[in-house]
Amino acid sequence: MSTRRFALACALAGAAVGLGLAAAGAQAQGGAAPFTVKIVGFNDYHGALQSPGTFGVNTLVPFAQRPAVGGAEYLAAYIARLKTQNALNVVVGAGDLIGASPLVSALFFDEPAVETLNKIGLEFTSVGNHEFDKGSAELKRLQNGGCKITNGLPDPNSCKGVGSGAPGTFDGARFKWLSANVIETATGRTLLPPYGIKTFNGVKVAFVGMTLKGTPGIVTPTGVAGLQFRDEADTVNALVPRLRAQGIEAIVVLVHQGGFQTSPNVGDINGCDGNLRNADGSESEIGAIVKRLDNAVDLVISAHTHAAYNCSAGTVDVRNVGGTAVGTARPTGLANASGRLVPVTSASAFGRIVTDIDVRIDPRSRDIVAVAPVNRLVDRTDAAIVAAIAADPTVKNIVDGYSALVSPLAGQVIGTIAAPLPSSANAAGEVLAGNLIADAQLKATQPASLGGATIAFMNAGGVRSPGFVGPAYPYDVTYGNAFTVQPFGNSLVTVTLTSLQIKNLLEQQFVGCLGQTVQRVLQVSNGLRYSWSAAAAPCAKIVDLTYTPTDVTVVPPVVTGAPEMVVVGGVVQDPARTYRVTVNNFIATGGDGFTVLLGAGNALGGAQDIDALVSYLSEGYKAPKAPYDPGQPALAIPRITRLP
Amino acid sequence: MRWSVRHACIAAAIGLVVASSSIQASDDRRAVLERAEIDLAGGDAAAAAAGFERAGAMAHTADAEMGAVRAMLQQGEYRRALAFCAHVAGAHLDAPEAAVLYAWLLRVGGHWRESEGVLAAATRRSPAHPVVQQAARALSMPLPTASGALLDTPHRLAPAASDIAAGRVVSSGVLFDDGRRALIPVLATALAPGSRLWVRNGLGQAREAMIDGAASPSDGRVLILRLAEPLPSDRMGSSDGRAPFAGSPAFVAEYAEGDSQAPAWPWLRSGFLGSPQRDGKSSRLGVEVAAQRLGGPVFDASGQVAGIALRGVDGQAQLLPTSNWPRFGTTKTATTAAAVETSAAGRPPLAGDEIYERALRRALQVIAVP
Repeated sequence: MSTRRFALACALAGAAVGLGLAAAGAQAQGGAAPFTVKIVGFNDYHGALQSPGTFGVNTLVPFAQRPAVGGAEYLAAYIARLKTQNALNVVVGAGDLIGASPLVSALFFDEPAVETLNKIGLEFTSVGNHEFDKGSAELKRLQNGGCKITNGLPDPNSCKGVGSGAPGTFDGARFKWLSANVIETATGRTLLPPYGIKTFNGVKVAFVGMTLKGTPGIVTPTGVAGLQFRDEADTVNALVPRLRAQGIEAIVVLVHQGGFQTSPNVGDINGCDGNLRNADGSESEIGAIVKRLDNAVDLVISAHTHAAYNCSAGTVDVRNVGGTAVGTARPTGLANASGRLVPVTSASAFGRIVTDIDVRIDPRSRDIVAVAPVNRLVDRTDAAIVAAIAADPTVKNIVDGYSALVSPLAGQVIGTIAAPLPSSANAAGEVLAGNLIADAQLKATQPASLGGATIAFMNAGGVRSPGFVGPAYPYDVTYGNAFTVQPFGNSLVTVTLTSLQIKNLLEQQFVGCLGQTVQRVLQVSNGLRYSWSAAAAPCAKIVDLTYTPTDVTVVPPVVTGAPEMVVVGGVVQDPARTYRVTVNNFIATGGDGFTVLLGAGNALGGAQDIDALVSYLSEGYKAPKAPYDPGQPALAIPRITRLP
Repeated sequence: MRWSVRHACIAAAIGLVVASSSIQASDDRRAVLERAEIDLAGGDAAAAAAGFERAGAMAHTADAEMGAVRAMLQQGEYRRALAFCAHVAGAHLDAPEAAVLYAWLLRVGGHWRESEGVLAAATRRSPAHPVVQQAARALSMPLPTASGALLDTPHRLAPAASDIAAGRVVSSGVLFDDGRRALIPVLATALAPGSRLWVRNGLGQAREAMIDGAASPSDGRVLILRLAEPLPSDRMGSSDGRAPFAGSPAFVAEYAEGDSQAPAWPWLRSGFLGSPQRDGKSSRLGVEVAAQRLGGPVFDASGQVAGIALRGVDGQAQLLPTSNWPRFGTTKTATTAAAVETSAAGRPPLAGDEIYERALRRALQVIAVP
């Protein structure tokens, strides 16, 4: 290529690049008018699914007047409210979102914390020192998902799945943990991504995440083995050119380091008393970092000290004037390497506070031109928030689910089984776990004072997966196992049914009879046996039905009377004969399409289904007593026969 | 740069000022902590909590945070104390006392396995620490008692309370009648003639009490005490209608009996109610309790006091339901299906930790003073 042709080519190429940049710039500029992005920040959540108590906006608020704050569902509702105020939003954290957490999260390896943060809508967070409490491999598991493995097996307290896609799974974090200053010594690369980018109206905003460089000194050595923690300011400053090379000018630092407000004011959550200097006048840890930051950094969201402060254009000095809080605006910030005041915020800890930050972005410069943060209490007494939670209880359900699982009751053994009792049905529709449950419900209501029941029916849909199964047998069934199988909290109802109603009820199990749309074979208690014909027409399937009085309050059960032929060849023998029958309140009120039960009489309420199950197993089949064995003749299994 | 003598003197002076400021700040903080401990011992838990909070705002240290945990507990906020203590123990690995306090709090609330895990981790980190060692010995007992170094601040494993001279804990009891009366097991073999009785709750609040023979049931199993002054009560009623059903969750709060009268937090045990006994007046109690005489409250799943835990003649734990005493709590309602359904479905179950908060007020140490 000649020099001339080369010059022409260069000129064309340059023009093309220039045109491209101009086009990109025009796209980024949009209407060229500055616009606002809402950043919602919080820090040091520490798996606080439940309220950490009350909190005042400053130390002048009397204890009795401080509202209850926090709780995952309230944090979620507050953040949801803020997000509705501006479609251009991002939710970020500044570390210690897990670790040093209460039992409700810690017992389940902080999976509850991650699952609630997923639902809250967190997008980026820095790591904090507590993210390393259990080591970097565990942190990566929480990031990527999968069950905790203990001694080569899935840990029973992992993958509860209350807030994941399904029971038995853990989705992992949908947000990104960032660790710009944490380097794997083996590879020389950051453990996790150093920064995350979100684009608003074509303008990229970078979020750089870091923990304090002193992390190795405050966590278990095994937690940080193989990792190097670099200087915070040096790390950010080194990243600035790299970010700028990507056209990024808007830079937010999420750093797990902080300071405290000091005298003379009253520590208001939007104060910056003493500009966070230490009591002896020296620079705070966060102040020392900011002092060395490149001028490109626009905002610092800090953490670690659990203090609330707002050192920005929104700073308010709140003083005690004769017992009254008097606030005076004092726009400030912490000085960076160029002497410019940079906004620095922190939102206490445990989900007590969120920092609501409006940043103004100039699309021409692609830079943040104004920052307006406000710390807001996550106030549990806010009626609109309470209503919002009632309307969308997604996060509340996660909290409630884990709260139930953490009960000291959950691990208690209530009985032992000798063989698996799955929740799946055989060809006749009989479910081994359902037999046990039906017997338990009969036992709970058989005494005259508790209903005088002779028969119990249990809907198969209420016998939840996996039934009563364990890795080996005999297997100790815990209350937690039982709760998994019987989670609905139904109560027992004993009613009076005639022979004809019982026959009709069993006919209504099959599609096409009395409005039934799905085959739903009821599980029956000891003493009842019947056969049904698969080929027979709807409402004519029950062939034979026998009732043998059986005392199930003793172990093993004892037959106490002669068998009664209730149905023979499809014909009810004594249609007016009555029986006391126990069902749960779900089907008693027509659930699962069993409308026949709506015609029952003499209803008597009873125990909860789970209580009946516990009583049956613990009084009959808990060591030193012999385990429950479905093959035991006295249990009279099978009870349902399917005919051609 | 070469430093002149003048520069060196200036630097030294600045150093002295900074050091002096640090010492002053440290002294201030220590004074705030001491004041908070005095407030806590004096029964002003709210003032103590404010003090510990202030000290915590001056420095993020374990001593102030352990004090805050105890102040929360002394205000009856077990759940909050437990959650915060988890943080303190996890964040201050250099202070094994924090892990000990957390293990103890887990255990009092019935979280046995988790308590053992926390203590085991603390033992691995600080095997020779005297508080860790003593706590491990105490927690290996069925009904631990805190003594010696376990009662030192800032970790103190018991409520702050003034001692009752020369007394001993003879049983547990149940507070009722809005804090005016207590139900306790018969103490015929436990009381010396002329003994005076005191009761103390899990918040460390004590009252002298007299046996109300006229009001006591005639079945010879329980006594009623009338308190000189009411103790704070949670104002929650008792189970109405029938006793809770067999198989339903039950929680028992009990205190260690023995020669000591030291204040303590009650121990919560969980399990299930058994079937009614043949006498129709009591039920089996499927809860593993350790005390000899028992006498503590039995809570149902919704946190209502279902009755008092007693030993049967066979030595097994039993529930004597409140339905035996119409004046015990709320008015007894008719035993109808509607009432039973209201009992079963109208009150949601409470977490064990919330029930423990009720136990702090409802469960009493019964102290005999010769």
